[in-house]
Amino acid sequence: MSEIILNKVRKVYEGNVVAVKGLDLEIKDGEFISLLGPSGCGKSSTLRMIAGLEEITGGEIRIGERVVNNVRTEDRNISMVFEYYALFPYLNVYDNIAFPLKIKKIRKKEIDSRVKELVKIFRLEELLYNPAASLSGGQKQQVGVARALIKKSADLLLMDEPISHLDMKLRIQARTELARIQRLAGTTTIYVTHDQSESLAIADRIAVMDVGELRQFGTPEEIYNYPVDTYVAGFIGEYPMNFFDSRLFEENGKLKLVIGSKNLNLPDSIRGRLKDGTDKKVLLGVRPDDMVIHLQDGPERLPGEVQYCEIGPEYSIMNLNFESINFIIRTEKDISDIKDNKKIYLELFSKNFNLFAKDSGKSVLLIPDKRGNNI
Amino acid sequence: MEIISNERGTQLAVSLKVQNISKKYGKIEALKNVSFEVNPGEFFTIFGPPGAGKSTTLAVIAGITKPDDGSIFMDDLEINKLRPQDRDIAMVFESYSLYPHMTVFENLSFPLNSPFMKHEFDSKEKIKKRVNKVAELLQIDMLMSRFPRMLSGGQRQRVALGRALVRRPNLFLLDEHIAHLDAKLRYLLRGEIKKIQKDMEITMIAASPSYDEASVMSDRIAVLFEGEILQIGRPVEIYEKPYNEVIARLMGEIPINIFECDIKRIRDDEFNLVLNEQYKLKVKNILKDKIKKLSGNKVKIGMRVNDISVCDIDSCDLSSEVYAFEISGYGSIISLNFDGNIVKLRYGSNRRFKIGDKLGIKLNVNNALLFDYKSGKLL
Repeated sequence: MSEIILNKVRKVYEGNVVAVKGLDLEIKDGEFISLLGPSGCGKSSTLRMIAGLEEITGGEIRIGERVVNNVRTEDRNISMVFEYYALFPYLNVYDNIAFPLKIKKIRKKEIDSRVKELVKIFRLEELLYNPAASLSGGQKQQVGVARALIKKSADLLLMDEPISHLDMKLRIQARTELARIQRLAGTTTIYVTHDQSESLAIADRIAVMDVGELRQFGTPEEIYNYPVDTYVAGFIGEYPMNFFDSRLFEENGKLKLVIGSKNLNLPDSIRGRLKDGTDKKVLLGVRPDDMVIHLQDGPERLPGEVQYCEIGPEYSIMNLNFESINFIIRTEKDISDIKDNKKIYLELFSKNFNLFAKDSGKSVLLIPDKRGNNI
Repeated sequence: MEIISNERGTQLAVSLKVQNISKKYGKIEALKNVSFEVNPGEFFTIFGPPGAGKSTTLAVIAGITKPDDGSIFMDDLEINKLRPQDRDIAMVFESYSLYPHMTVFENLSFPLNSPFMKHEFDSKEKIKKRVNKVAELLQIDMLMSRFPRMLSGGQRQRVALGRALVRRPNLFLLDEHIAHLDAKLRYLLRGEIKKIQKDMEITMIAASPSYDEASVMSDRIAVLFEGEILQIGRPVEIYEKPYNEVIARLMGEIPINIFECDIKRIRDDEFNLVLNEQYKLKVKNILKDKIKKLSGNKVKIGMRVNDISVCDIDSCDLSSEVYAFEISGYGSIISLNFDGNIVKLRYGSNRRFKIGDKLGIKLNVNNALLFDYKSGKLL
């Protein structure tokens, strides 16, 4: 187990294709980190450089005390799990998991107790002597992870989209198991995925990447509630964040926001978080879950014209319109009574909201230092 | 944006009736006596896990696959004997199958060049007008001169959709149309498809393994499992009253929690649901009448993630240790371990839990589903 430090790491492929642009990242011992971003953001290149599968063009990678730039993969003491589990189809579950220790010529008794311990955690006991080829996708994936974890002394566990090709139900199940097992094993882990819900669910901290650059590195709560820019804001969250073109200004000691023809008072609590002055064009960002619905107009409420509704058993989605701005809300309330209303009224500031500078897309608000502060 | 609905003129959306369709591949029964009816202008989804027979059902309707048995009616016309091209059905597949050597415009206009469309689209101008309209609707009008390889996955999917839409077919089939797009795009496209379907008043039949998609897009869904239709109804109906345990497990983003328990009478009117010696659940109110008849029996009880809440250990229904903890944006999902049974619940606060933390839960037993222990049928 070790801390990992990336110092100005660069990756340039043939033909001057820059995949990673000077990445700095400090990962603590025992931490579960997720590299998150769309395809082409450089997350897999970063992982492959840490693994030693890809040459480092510039900068330095340190695992524990050791700079590993010129250390071969097999000498870096890491375990890896990839999207395709690469099990030995004709070996049974036991032999697949035991393989990394067997080739190291470790005593049979020790291997046995370690395998038994892992199959218990993964609840694979009943499948122990079944050939890998007979397992379901989810089970194969679990065997793959168990095999990666068996080298107890590994400094680092690297996973590249290990569950992204499983179907939805299995993915949710596997996600739970992964989050649990890593915490129990305590191995420093770097987990690459393009699925933001996976990152939120299992990572201690998330590094959001975009075209070879790090946009934000923080806890799931920070990333979700206080994105540093519109890119992170838009990428995180199951449903896209709503953005409202507006202007931030101060009048009679009150902070105000103009959206179209509507003039709204901002809560005073936001003042302490303002990075610099007011009177600027901003984008108000509100998640579809963070608006409160009213049937009557009232102070600080934005009217929304109902376009169409998708009503599901667990939640519903309403597509709304305010002066040519389209936005959506998601609610767990029963909306069957109000879906035919022409207009509803929304509180935008009663839960969480964000303000981004219109020109740069960067947040104009500081992240509160402790969870629950300010908002 | 101009809507293309009224061009259908007096032509109304069609209804579809599938009657006792069976299909075998060797010894494997892909479809067993499948029957359902789709109303004109309805968004109907065939919902089921991978391998349930969803695509086979669509292929049979389209005429690509021949059923061993059964008939299909479009309005009142039996279409079994009609060739696929004579059925006037458009189908969008999971893989987009665009012509790689043709531009977006050529791909979109391809169906209009067919001899069957000659009477309506007899000039280049007419074709162009039609294609442009559809492209605008799907926001691909700026991509007309590109080739498929120059498009993103989402754009390709739109072109495939557009190619099916230009013909204004009687019936529209969507086969896991957006399953492999990333979440954001899927959401956007989902809204667009739904809107086009309503605006154009098209009868649409989709196949989807996603509960989320099926439940918010569809007017009605048919639950297909191992080649059999298990239940047909509005999504909310099926969610609240699934015929059996299998259906209950399929409905819900996070799978429903199902535990086995014994029903024991303590006093005259008091019953316990006994999970085991350690975990007992007192039953009051609504469930009691059901439970009375079942006293002394084993049942399965189903609780949705939203019907379980966290509470103080002193006043809780059950308590156990945290098995796993996951953040989900608007709150978290907590898994608890009850003697090997993993129970999941949604927790809408920022508080974090660690594996092994003691936690009490309260169950909204009024919303519980009771299933027969042997048959799995809803009681």
